[in-house]
Amino acid sequence: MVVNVQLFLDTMAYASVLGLLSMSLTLTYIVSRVPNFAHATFAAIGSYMVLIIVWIMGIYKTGPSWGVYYASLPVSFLVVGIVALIQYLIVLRPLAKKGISIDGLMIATLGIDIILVGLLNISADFLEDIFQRSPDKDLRKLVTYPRSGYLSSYEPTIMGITASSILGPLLLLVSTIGFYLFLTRTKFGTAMRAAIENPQLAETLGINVNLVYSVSWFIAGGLAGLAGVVMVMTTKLNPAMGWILIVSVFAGSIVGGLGSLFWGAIGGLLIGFLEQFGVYYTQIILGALTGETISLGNYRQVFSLGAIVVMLLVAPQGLASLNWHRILSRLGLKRW
Amino acid sequence: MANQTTLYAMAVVALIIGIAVGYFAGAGNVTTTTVTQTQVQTETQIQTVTTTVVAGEGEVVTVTKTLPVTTTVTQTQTVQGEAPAAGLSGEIRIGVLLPLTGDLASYGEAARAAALLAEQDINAWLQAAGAPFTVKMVIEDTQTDPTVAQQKFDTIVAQGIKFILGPMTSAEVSALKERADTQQILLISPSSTAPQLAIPDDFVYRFCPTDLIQGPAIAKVMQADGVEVVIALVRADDWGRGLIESSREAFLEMVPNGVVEAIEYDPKNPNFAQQVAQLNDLVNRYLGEGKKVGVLLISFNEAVQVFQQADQYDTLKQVRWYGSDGTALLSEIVNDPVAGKFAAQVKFINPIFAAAKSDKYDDVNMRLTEELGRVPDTYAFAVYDSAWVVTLALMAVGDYDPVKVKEILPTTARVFYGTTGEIVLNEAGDRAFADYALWEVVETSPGQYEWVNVGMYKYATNSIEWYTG
Repeated sequence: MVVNVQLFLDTMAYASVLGLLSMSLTLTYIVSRVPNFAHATFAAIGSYMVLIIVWIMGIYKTGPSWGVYYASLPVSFLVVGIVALIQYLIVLRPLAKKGISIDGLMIATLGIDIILVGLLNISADFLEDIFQRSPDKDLRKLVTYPRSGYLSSYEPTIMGITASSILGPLLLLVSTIGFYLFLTRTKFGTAMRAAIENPQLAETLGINVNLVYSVSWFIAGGLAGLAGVVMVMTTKLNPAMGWILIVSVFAGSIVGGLGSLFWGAIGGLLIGFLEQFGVYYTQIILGALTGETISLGNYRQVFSLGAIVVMLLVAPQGLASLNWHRILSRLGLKRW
Repeated sequence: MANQTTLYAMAVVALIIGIAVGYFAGAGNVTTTTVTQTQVQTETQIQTVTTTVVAGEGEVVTVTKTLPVTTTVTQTQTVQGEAPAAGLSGEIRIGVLLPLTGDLASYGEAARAAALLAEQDINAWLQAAGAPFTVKMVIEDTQTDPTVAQQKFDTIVAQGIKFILGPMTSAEVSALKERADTQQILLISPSSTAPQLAIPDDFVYRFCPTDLIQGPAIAKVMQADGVEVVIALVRADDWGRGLIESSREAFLEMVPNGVVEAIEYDPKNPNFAQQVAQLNDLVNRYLGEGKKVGVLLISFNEAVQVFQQADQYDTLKQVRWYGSDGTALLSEIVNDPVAGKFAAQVKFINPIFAAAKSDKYDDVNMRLTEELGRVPDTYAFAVYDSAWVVTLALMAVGDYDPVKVKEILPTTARVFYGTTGEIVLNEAGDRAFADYALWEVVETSPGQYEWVNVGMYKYATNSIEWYTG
């Protein structure tokens, strides 16, 4: 009862998705200063890639397979990366060049989100049609999947634990470390930091700022695509699935301070755990106090939105701005 | 006078153009059911015409005359899809609002097949009878979403359609009720069961019994298994809350020392890990007290995800799970390898209102099963019946008028013997009573799961008849 291991594992998958999304959202924010409302729908595109892989690779026939991961991850990274790049090159950059304000660009991303969800709806119709008409009886069973698909039955397990509970955190860890090394150890990474820090100065030094921004958008999209692959294992596949998560993703980024990729990832993780365990323990405590069964599942987002409020009140610059040295020493953990 | 000649010439040209436009628009009528009315009105009026005449060098004289002027007004009115008003002729259109996608997609699919089958059968019958009209089902997808249902309702009504079969969920009916009442559009839902929507004299009929009857059916099944403690996982909407209340009340009446605990979930949650964890805690606690525990799942197809998550907990596989008409016969459950296996393991049993078996039922059942490749749920039969009842009522009234049809619909239903059996509607316009078929998920061959009819809840005697073998 005190620590529910299974809930912890389920939450690991979900929280890693939020971590990846909050981190990549922070990246686009640092680069373009635009809160990208289409970000969670980027992940949804990645989720649809999983359904397509399950179909094309015949996984619906063979049952759980690692194929859902090793095929979906690179495909989703690439496809969603390109979608993000297109959004930047075709919409945001031209608008920014015309001197549209940040607010205007933000509304533009909302518009893009609606367009993307529309495109996903069209794709869902298309897939339903293909599955419906298929002579393959097993494929016809997938007809409900494009609009309400639960794909976790096709992911493998590792010692009885669903792969997403292990792969999700692993992906988050690898991307965070990978990104850190990329920014600090490679020439392009250094150029990227310079371009973000001071675009004018970087440009005079011969750095192709446009290229740097484009690459950043591509990577951010790609990471969202990776998140989408794990996301579809934890939630219902649906064209509007991004809308259900976008508030939590923003909460993660804001808690992280919107200025640091590392803290963005931590913020996302934190929100994920807060939504599941915050609700779970509040129920247990209230239940013990009142002697009744309390179910607060409907108030999940109160926890994530509450976290934004608390963070903005206590540390408006997010977790990144806190003096962790002092906090740790106060807690007697300085040696750590 | 030159001015007057021009005026007449223009009037004639306008008349010719008007007739031509009317003719060509009218020609479109054949395929698009666009009705074009061309009215030519000729009226003679006395008008005062003021003309300015130059009467010589520098002199301008204004002459005022009173003249009879004939004006010709050509009105071309195009009414998109207006159904025939007086008498029934041509194509009579009936709207059908179904969840072809979303949480009840599998019910929607069967209902769609039933509506199309009804259209085919009714038209064959009308043709044999030499009737001057045919019926046409205009089907729209509500995506199991009340907001989308409202949009699709408007789409259908904009086409001049005044009779709608559906929508299927209580949440959707609730969203459309006010529109239907104010615009006088008759709704016949095959499957909305929320007791809150049992309102007399509105424009909503429901061809299924409400959850005031389903609740006792569920409770009876649990009581028959000797369940003492019910832990319910409930979809937090009108339907879920109504059904858990009627089940709770009936169960506590049958098992006075029983306990019913309910955990609500928002269907818009990304997943139900937290709720399933809480469910597991509660089941463990009562099992620890030595009680016989049953889990009641009141959900739509998110049951698949609940099962996938519950499959991780050993305790949750040790107790029996009970369902409702929200999950009975859902193909999503038996098609999913993990959910299907779990459901079979926990003997997931679901009531759904039963059609009284007859030749008519068998015939339609056979044809629907062939079309769908699986057993249709009872609501599909309710759709089939409602299409017939509306057609018969329309014929009796002889007019495409929802107000008149609304008045005689209950008696029409009463004299009609449907695929679902006798259709007796109560004062709220809902089916007054029915038996409930009990469907269970069974592993028929390794890795293959199917719905099997294992028994029947008899309304009249409040008892269960189990089918053996």
